[in-house]
Amino acid sequence: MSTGPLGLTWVTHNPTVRPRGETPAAATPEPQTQAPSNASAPASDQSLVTNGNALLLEWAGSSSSLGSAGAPSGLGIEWATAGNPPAPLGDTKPKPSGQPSSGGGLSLEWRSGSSSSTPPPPPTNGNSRPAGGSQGLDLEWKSGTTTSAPPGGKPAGNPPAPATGNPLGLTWVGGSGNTAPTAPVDPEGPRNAQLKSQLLSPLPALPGPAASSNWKQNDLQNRANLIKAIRSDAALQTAFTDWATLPNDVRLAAGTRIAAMEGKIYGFEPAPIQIDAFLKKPSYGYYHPTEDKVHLSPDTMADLREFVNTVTHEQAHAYQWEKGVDAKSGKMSKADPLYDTAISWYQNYFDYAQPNQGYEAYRTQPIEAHAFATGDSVAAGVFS
Amino acid sequence: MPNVTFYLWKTGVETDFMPALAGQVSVEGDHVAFSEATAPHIRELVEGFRSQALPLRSETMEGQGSGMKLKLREVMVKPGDADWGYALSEAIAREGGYSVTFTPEPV
Repeated sequence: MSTGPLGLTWVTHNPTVRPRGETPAAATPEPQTQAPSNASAPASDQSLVTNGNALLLEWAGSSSSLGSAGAPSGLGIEWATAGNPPAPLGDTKPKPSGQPSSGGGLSLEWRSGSSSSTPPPPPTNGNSRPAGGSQGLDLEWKSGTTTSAPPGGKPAGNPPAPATGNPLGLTWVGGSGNTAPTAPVDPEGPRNAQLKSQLLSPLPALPGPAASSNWKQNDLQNRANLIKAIRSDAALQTAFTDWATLPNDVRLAAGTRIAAMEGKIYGFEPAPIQIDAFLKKPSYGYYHPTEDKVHLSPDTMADLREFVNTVTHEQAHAYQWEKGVDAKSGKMSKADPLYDTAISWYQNYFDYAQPNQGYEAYRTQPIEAHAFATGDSVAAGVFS
Repeated sequence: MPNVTFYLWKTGVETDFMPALAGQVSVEGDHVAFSEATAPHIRELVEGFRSQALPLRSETMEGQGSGMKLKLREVMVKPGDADWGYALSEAIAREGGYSVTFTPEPV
C-alpha cells in the first residue's frame, strides 16, 4: 500500500468476499446504537483506518442471499480525516446532531435500487443514504468538529434534501465557516504569470539585418544590435534579475524572446525552443536542422549566462541552416554578400567534423566557428 | 607537436558591443606565447590554467535526417596533449567572458 503526499490511503474491499453491510462474524448486521469510534466507518468496515486520514473505497452489494440486510448496492467512497476540514462554500445545511465523534470528510456513495425483498435498514447515523430503493449518488462532506457523540445516538433522519436543482442528491453537511476549501496559492504565481506575459508580448522596434557589402561586418553589427536589444529590454532584465527563482516556463519565455530578437535582427525565422529533460552535461543544447528545433538541457535553463549563450548559439545554427537552404535553393541571390558563406554552411551540415576527427577540425568548421563566436560574444556583451 | 593560435575578443559598451581584439595566444605542446598587445587579464588566466588538465566539451549531431543522434563528449586534456590549446581557449573564454576565434577575424 502506498500513500500519497496527502496521506491518502486506499482501502479496497473485495465484493465477492464481504459485501457492504455484512460483518465477518454475523450475517445480519446489528443496528448501530452508538456513534462509531471512527469518523464514518460503519460497523462492517473492519479494515478502515481509524487514525489519521484515509480514502475508503468500498463496493456495496445488495444480495440478500449473502446475508445482507438489504443494503442497496453500489460504490461507496469515503474520505475520512481526523482533522477539521474547512467549511465548504455555501454551507447552509446544519450538521446532523448525530454526527460521529471524531472524523470529518467526504462521503460518496452510489445507490442502486435493486434490493428486493428485504427492506432497507433504518438509517444508522446522520450520514446514511435515504431509506428505500431509490437510486442515485450521495456526496456528503462531514466535519470532524464534534468531539463526542451526542446522547441518544443517531439522529432521527437524514438532513433535508436541497430544495432545488440537486438531482444527484449532493449535500453539504457540517463545517464551521462560510468559505470553500481552497488550494494552496503560490505567492509568486501572479507575478511570474505577468512576467511571462510581458516576455511573450510583441517586441519593441528593432533594427533589421545590417546590409553592407561585407557579411562579416554585417554579422558583427547584427550581434552588437542583439546585445543592445537584450540589455535594453525591461522584461528580459527583470527575468535576469530573478532568474534563480523563475520557473522553467518563464525562463523558456525569456529564451523565446531572445530568439525572436535574434531572428528579427539577423533576418531569419527563429527555431522553437524546448527543454530536453534527457539532455545532460556536457551538453548544453543542440539545434536539430531537420525538425528545426532548439533543445536545451535543464542545467542550461538554470544557469543564466549559459542560457543566453546557448540560446543565441543554437539560434545561430538555425540562421545558418535557413540561409544555407535559401542559397542552395536559389532563393538567395548569388550577389548577396552572404551567399558563399551560406553555401559553405549548408555543405558543412552534411560534412560535419566530429570532435574525434580532431578538435581543431570540429571547433573551426564554419558553422561552429560562427555559432561559438555568436553565443560567446552575446553572453559576454550582455553580462559585461 | 600540434600548434594552435587563438584570438580572444571582448565585447562591451566601450566598443558599442562590437568585438574588440583583446589578445592572441599560441600554444605548442605545453608552451604558451602571447602577442604583445594581449591584455594582462588574459595572461593572468593563462598562468592559472598553465599546469592544469582542462575539460574539452562538445555536443554534435551524427547522421542525417531522422537518423540523427546527439553525441556528447567531455574529456580532460593535460598540458602537452594534442587538444590542450583548445581546452585552454575555452577555459579563458568561460572565465574571462571572451569570444574565441581561430582566425584573426572575429567570425
